[in-house]
Amino acid sequence: MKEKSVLIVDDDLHILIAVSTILNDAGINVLTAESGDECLKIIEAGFYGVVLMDIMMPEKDGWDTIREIIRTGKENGVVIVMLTAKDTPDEKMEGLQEYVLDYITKPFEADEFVRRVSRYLKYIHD
Amino acid sequence: MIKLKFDPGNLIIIGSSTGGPITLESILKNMPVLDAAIIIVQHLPSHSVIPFCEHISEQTEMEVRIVVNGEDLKSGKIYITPAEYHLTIKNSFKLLINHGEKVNFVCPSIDVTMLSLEKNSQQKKVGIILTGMGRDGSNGLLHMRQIGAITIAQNLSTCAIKSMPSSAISNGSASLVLKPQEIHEFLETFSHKQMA
Repeated sequence: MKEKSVLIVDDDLHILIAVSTILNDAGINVLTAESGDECLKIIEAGFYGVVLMDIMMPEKDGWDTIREIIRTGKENGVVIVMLTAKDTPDEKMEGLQEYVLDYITKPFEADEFVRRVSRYLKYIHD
Repeated sequence: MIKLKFDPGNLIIIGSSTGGPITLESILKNMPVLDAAIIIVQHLPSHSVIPFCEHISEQTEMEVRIVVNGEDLKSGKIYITPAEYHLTIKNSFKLLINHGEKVNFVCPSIDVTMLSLEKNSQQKKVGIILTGMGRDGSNGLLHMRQIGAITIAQNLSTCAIKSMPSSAISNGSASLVLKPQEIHEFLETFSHKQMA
C-alpha cells in the first residue's frame, strides 16, 4: 500500500528544497512537482495526500491545475492547500473555495506550518 | 387545555471557508458544552466532511454531527452542514437540507442558511463569519443583525483569506470584529449568560 504523502507543487527549486527539508525533518513523506502538469501526472499515478500548491507558475497556474484535478475526478484522495507568496488570492479562486482547505503565505513559521500539514494529512483516510 | 410550546434554544451559526478548519480549531478548543446549538456551514469537498467532523470533535466536549434532513436543533450540539447541500432552518429549530444550485459559487452557502432564519424573541442568536474567499455570508449576516442577532466577523489580520469577513464588515452586518480566541471567550460568556 502506498503511504499518504505531501506533494509540493512549485516552479521555484529553492522553495521545493526548503519546504521538503522542513517536512522531511518532521518525518513526513514528500514528493515534488515543478509544474501543474507534473502534479497532474503524479496524482494520475495514484498519489494521495496533501497537495501544497503554488499559484504563480508558467503555463498552468495553481488554479488551472486544481480545476484540472476536479475535472478529471481526481480530487477524492487529496486535500489541497495553497502555499503562495500572494497575500490575497485573485478572482480565479472563485468557484474553488470548496476544494481549497487552507491558504498559507510564504514566508511562514515552520512549526505552525508542520502542525497544519500534519493535521490535514489526517483528513486523508488510508 | 395545556398548550405545549417548543423551546428552540439559543443558536450560533458559524460560516467558514478556506482557512476555516484551523480557525474553528482555535475557537472550539476546550469549549465546554454550551447552552446553545452551533451550526457550522463550512465550504468543503464531500470527502473532507467526515474528517472535518472528527477534527472538530477532538476540540470540544460538545457532540458533533452531520445534519440529517428534518431533525430538530438541540442545545449543546454542533451541527455540520453536509457538502453539496444547502441548509435552511424552519420555525427556528427544524433543519432542512436540499441539493440546489450553487449560491455565491458554493453549496452549502452561508447566505442561504442565515437568510432562512426568522425573528424569534425566544431564541437568542449569534452569527459569525470567518476566513474565506468571496462574499458568501455577508447578506445573511446582515439579515441576522436585522432580526436581532449578535453578529461577528473574524479580525482580518487573523484570516487566511480576508474577503468574506471584510465583505461582512463593509456592508455593516458585523456588530463585533474579533480574533478567534476572543470569539471563543465571547461564546462561553454568551452561553453562561443564557444559563444564568
